[in-house]
This record gives sequence, structure tokens and C-alpha cells, in this order.
Amino acid sequence: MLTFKRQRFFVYMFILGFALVSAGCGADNPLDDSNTDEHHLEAFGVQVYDGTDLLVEADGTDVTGSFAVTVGDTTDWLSILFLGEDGEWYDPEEKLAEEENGEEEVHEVSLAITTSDDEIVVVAGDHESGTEWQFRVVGVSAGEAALRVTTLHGDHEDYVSPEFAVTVTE
Amino acid sequence: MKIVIRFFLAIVLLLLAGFPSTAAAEALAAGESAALIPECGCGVAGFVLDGESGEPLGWVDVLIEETRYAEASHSDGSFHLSRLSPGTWTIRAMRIGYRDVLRKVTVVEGDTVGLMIHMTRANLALQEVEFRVKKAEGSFLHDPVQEFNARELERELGLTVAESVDEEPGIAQRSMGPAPARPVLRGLGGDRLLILEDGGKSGDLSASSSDHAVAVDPMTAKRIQVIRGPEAFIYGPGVLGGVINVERGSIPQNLPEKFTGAATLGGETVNSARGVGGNVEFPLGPLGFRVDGSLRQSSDVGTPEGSLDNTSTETVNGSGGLSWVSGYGSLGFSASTFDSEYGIPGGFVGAHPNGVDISMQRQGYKSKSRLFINSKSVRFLELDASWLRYHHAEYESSGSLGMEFGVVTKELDARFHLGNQGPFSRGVLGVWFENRNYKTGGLTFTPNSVEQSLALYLFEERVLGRWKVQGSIRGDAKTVRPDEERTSIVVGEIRNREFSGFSGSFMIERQMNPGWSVGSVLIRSWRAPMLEELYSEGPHLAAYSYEVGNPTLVPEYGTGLELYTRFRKTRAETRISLFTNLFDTYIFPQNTGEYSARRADLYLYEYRGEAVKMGGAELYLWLKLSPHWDVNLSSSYVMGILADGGENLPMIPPLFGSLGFDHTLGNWTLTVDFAGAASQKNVGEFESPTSAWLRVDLGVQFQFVIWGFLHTGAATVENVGDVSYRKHLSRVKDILPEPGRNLRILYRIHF
Repeated sequence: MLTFKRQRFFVYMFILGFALVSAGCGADNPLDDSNTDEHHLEAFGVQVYDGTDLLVEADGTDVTGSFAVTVGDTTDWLSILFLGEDGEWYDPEEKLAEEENGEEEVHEVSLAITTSDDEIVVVAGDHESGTEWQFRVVGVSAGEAALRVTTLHGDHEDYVSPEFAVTVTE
Repeated sequence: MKIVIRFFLAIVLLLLAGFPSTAAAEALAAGESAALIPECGCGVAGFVLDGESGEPLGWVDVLIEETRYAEASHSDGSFHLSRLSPGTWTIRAMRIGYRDVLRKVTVVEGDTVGLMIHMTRANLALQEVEFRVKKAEGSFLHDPVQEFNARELERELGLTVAESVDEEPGIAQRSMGPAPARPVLRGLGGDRLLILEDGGKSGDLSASSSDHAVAVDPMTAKRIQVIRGPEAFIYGPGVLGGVINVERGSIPQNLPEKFTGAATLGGETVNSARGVGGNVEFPLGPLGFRVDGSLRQSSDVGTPEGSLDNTSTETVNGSGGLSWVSGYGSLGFSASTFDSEYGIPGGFVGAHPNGVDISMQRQGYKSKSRLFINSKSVRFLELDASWLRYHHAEYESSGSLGMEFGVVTKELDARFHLGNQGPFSRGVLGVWFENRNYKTGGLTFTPNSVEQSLALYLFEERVLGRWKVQGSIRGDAKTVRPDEERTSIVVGEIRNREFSGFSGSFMIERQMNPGWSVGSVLIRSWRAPMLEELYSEGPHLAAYSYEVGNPTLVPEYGTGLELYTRFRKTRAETRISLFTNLFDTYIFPQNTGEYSARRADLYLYEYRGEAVKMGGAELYLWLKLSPHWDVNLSSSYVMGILADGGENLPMIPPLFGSLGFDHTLGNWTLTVDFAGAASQKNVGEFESPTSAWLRVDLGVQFQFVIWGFLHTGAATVENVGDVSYRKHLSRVKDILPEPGRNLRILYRIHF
């Protein structure tokens, strides 16, 4: 049987233990006060149009279409539209603005288009025009290469598309 | 009682004489020891002596196995384990160069039990062998608790816990650069091999990903325990691999008699590593205090084929604890911090091209209390509580934040340590609760979640003549609640999950004749999926993968069976173990071979539960060749395949073996060790094979008592031949081999 002193000791033990476990029940997670709550593009696919013609599409990892250009030529301005998980067109900046819960701040999202071999093909003039991102493809030398569309939030990648084939002919 | 009175008289003599002098030592050696036992109020007190010379032995770890109370004997050989409750306790004395001594003592209310421990000075050549024998014993489940004390760890002390126990039979280390290394036992890692600090969770995320480091520094460890079999289920339900418990002792469990401590300096040439650490313990009235800390820095690791970029580390670790020790038990509290910056190399499959820098911090607050209960059936109650706050951020080479994790873990563990209970002689009955608040930031879609677990467990042991039986049973319930329930096109239906299940183990051993025994261990493990396995979604930059959870995962059940035999005589020892582990649903991230839809530059790793078969064997042999020469040989093998289809499991270590020779000259021990592995061609999908390798290490250890302080040290030249070799469990193996020739030095002064 526990004596009174032992019972008191027992109570102290539990007070100490439970005080520790219940401590900091509020904002105790290191990320509760973090300013690094990044917002990211929730794109799931991308489409590239030449005017109204769909040139290439990535829906998830499914890729259709390819680019073709001749050496020395430059394509017309090609427009990029992103797809959300529901398959609908998706404007990353609108989405990011909504995430601010009423705040009108629009986060900096930029476009980067990379090629697998810039001795065969390069990308020129990628920029934002109104609500669209646009770019042009320049054929450098004959061959096969690949092109990838990337969005950057700050300086890290949010969305990286599958590679699209590019054929440059004489 | 007479002997107690004599011991009391000894205290008087001791007080009159001051600390034991050579004369006291001579008296002790002459068999007059009983008259010199020091008093400590109640509990156990005594001296440790060299069995041959009769000289007092200082710095011997004297440990009460049941409570983990421990004290190092003073330079005069005295030790005091005060304020113990009545009952029978097991005392273990350990010091490098001496054979362990196990003694049973019975403490009577109000009395001090005097104990003279005569340690047999192992033949100097035995020092290292003894260490290896002990380690080898621990690699077999029939010896479920294995001890590495701080002295023994000195030779092997590495940057991480994994490195410190690596290459012991059955143990390998999974690594992704030097810092984020984690042990793997018989091919089992992650949550199947718990890593604890002072019996509690370390609060880090090392079990969930290979680039996450263990937030425990072995430099401040007093002992490292490897626990397997039935006793491991006190700590968790999924411990088919076992438990590695780093005993730091941040909360004193015994009232130190005086100011004691140790200071350590260490360094390595292969990565320009340098480290300093220390600890002190001292009393202040009824309070015992302990403060420890360590600081380590290292640069990029050198290999025979060049430097492995972005592998530098910097770690600061410290804790302070105090405990109120009374005759009823102890109430203790500690605060600790662990801060580490380390790099993950890049440029190989499964890694970020330019590497990633990781910053992790952990703050911990723990309480540890014990209440002795004067009952035959319940010896004492133990209540441990902890609050751990962990932050982990991964930065790209540009310096921008990639991912961030914040985890707050709260644990409460109440254990009744049982005495004679029905047919059993020893046991533990406990209840455990854990609340884990998990948040992510940066480039991830993994939902913030809360995980709660509750468990009830029972462990019992019975020794009956030549038979020894242990058993444990544990029931667990766990809920995982994401902050919002939704359907993700990638992950699936993210929803609350609830799990419950039973686990346990049974061990039986029979001594066939003196020196020879056989036994068997049966294990049934249960492990609920971790929330990372259920819901994770996002690019994991350090692992250069896109991880996708699986909300439909079911608990992982494992069944393990081991058969073993051991033979031990004065000049030889052999152990052989055969084991098999079967999993109904072994959960692991499997490279799907496809790219992520959101990040088509990253491979998609999806958590899956698959039936798995594992099996293997371990062999240990020790021979005493002459009074000064010993040889030891060990080998371990494990294989693992998917039950459906027979594909190999990834990250399974190859056949490993080691051969060591030890020679002693005075206080110096010289060692030559050969270690090697066969090629591993049984690889998982998207995993590269590794070639066979052989490495030679040369080492020297010393211990001296100078000016009343014990000085110990070790210097080891690792990989003498600067051989270029690759360990299979290293994720870095695709670009560079293991470290080249390395001089590792460690010096410690004990005061």
C-alpha cells in the first residue's frame, strides 16, 4: 500500500508528466509562425497553341503532338495554357491571388522554357502577354531535340512539363 | 545484518582515512575489504577492485539493470547507488579491458548493502575481443539486450549512431552522404528499427526518408543498447528489426556523490572533422545535475576518386537536466537542443542535381520520474513524458527553400515494473500515448496532419532451471487525421484513418549443457502506416523524387522466426543464427519508373504494401590463440524478395564478413581488422548493383591513469590501402565510393 508521502510523490510525477505533454498546445509547431508558407501552381498539364491550333499537350504525363521547325526559321508566337487537375484551363496567377484570402497580392510566377540541345533548337522571346505566356522556337541545325515548359515561383520550379519532341529540318 | 554493520564500520574507517590510499587498496587486496565499504544512506555501495592486483578500479560503469541507474566508480574504486527500494537488483560492472561482472544483491529497508566487485582483468589481448564478443552476442535475438558502453564506443565512435554500430554482425547503415545515416538491421530499417534516446522517441523524421538525419549525437552517449525480441515491444509494435536506445542519461537517475564527468576530443582526416564534447554530473543537496554538450564540424568527404561535394556538416548538441532523488524515487526534468546543418550531395539518380542543404533543429523537454513501490509484485512505477519540437528545412543550391517540415511530438509512457507475478519473475506493464503534429511547407502538397497513438503492453520473463522464457504482447490504436479531407488526383482520397492491432513476441531457450544452449524466437509485428506513407505528395528535393502516399494502405504485419545455438568455452565461442521474416504488406516507396505529372523531371515514388519474404543467417566465431593473441570472425547474410513475382527488394545489404586479430602490449591494444562484402547483384528495380570489396583497418587503443584521471583513446587508420569500394546501402554509390584512407582519433579524459 502506498504511504501518504508516496502518494504525494505519485501526484508530483503525474503533474510533471502531464504538464509537459500539455505544454504549448497552441502555436507550438515550428511552421505555425513560418513565413515560408509558399503558394504553388497546382498545374497538372499544359497546352501550347499556334494561334487556335493545338500543337502539343501534356495532360499529366500523357503527351501528344510535337514541334517542327526548319533551320534558320522562327515560329510564330506560340501561346501556353496550363491545365488544372480537372482538365480545365488554369491561370496560375489568378489562383495564387485567390489563395491570399482577399488580399489582392499577386505572387511572382515566371516561365522558363528549356531545350535539351541548344545547338539544334533555341527558344526566343518567352514572355507574358496579357493573360497568356508566349514564346517562339528557332531552328538552329537539323536534328531531334526536346523542349520542356517550366514555371518558376521565385527561383524554384513549381511545374515541370514532360519533354516535347522538336524536329528541326533543313 | 552483521555484514551490514561491518560495512558501516568500513564507512567510518573510510571517513577517517579520507579517500582510499594505497594502503586502503592493499587492505582491500588483503581481504579486509568488507571493513572499508562506504555508506550511502541506503541502497548499494562498495568498491570495485582489480581481481589480480587488488588495486581499486575507477571509472567502472556500475549499472542497476532493472532501473538503468548507473554510476561510474570513483578513482578510489568506490561507488554508491543510493536510495534504492528494498528488493533484489541486478548489478552489472563494466569497464574496457575487464570482463563484465553480474551480481545479484538484495536491498533491505533502511540498510546499505555492501558489495565488493572483483573484476578479472581480461588478458590485455582480450580487451577488443571482449568488446566484439559482446557485440556479437547482441546480434542474436537470444541475448535481447546488448550494451555498448561509452568506453567501448570510443574506438568506433562516428559522426552518427549508425556509423558507430556499423559493420557489427547483422548491422549495416543506410546513407545518403555522411550525415543522414541510419542503421539497418537484418535488412530492416525505417520504422521497423526504432532509434530512441533515453528510452523515448528522438522526434526526428529519419525513419521516413533517407536524407533525414537522426537527431542524436553518439558523442554524448553513455551507452548504446540494441534491444530485440520480446523486450523490444515495450517500445513499439513494429520492431521486427529491434530498438536502438542511445542512453544519454540527460536526467540523472541516481544522486551523484561528487563532481564527475568526461571531456572528449576527436578528429578525422578524411573529412577534416573535429569535435569536442563533454559532460559533468554533480549533486546539490537532494538534486542531481547533469550537463552535456558537443560540437562537431566536418568538411567534404574525401574518397579515392575525388571529393564528395556538399557533404560538410556542423552539429551543436547540448542538454541540461536535474533530478530530485529521494528514498521514494526520483523526479527529473531536462531540456535539450540539437542543431545541425549538413549537405546532401547531388548528381546521381535519386538526388538533386546540385545537392541540397539541410538545416534541422530539435528542442526537447523531458521528464523522467520513478516511484518505488514496496510491493512484491510491483517493484516501481516509471513515468516518462516528453515534448519534442523538430524543424527541418531543405534548401536548393540557389539558397531558396524547397521543403520544410515541422513536427511536434508529445509522449507519455507509464510503466509498472513487475516483480514476482504468478509464474513470472520479472516484467513490465505499461501504457503509452503519443500525439504528433506534423506540418509541411514549401514545395509540397502533403496535408498538415495530426497522428495520435495509444498502446497497452506487457512483457514477462521466467527462468525455470535450464529453461528461460520471455513473452510480450502489445495492443495499439492509432488515428491519423489530415487537416482537410479531399480527393487528390495524384494521391487519391485523403481522409481520416484509424488503425488498431496486436503484436508480440515469444522466446524460449534451453541450456543443453554448460556452455551450450539452443533457442528460438517468434515475433509478430504490427505497424500502422506513417502519415508520410499515407498522404505525402510533392517533390522531395533532397531525394530528388516525387513522393506519393497511398491513403488506402493497410497495417503492415510481419512474422519473424529465429533459431539459434551458441557454444561458449574459455578459449572459444561460436554462435549460429538462422532467421526468416515474412511480411503480409511490407510498406515501402517504390519507384514506379514513371515521371510525376506535376514535376516531369522527377521520378514518381509511390508507397505500396507488398507481401515480402526475407531470410538470412549470422555466424560468429572467437578463438583465443595465445595469451596475447585472439582472432574473431563474423559473417552475416540477408535476402529479401517480393512474394508475388520474386523481384528483389531494394537496399538489401550483401553478404558481409569480418576477420579481426588483436594483440596487447601493456595498456596498449593493437588491432588488425579485415572487412569485406560480396557483390550485390540481387537488386531492386532501378537500383544499381555493387561489386565485392575488401578493406583493412589498423588500430591502437590505450588507457592510462595519470594524475588521478583516466585517459582513454583510440587511433584507427581506416581503409589502409585507400581502396575504392562501394557499400550497397549508400545512395551516393553511383557517383563516388566510400571514404578513402582515414585516420580517426579520439581522446577522452574521465574525472
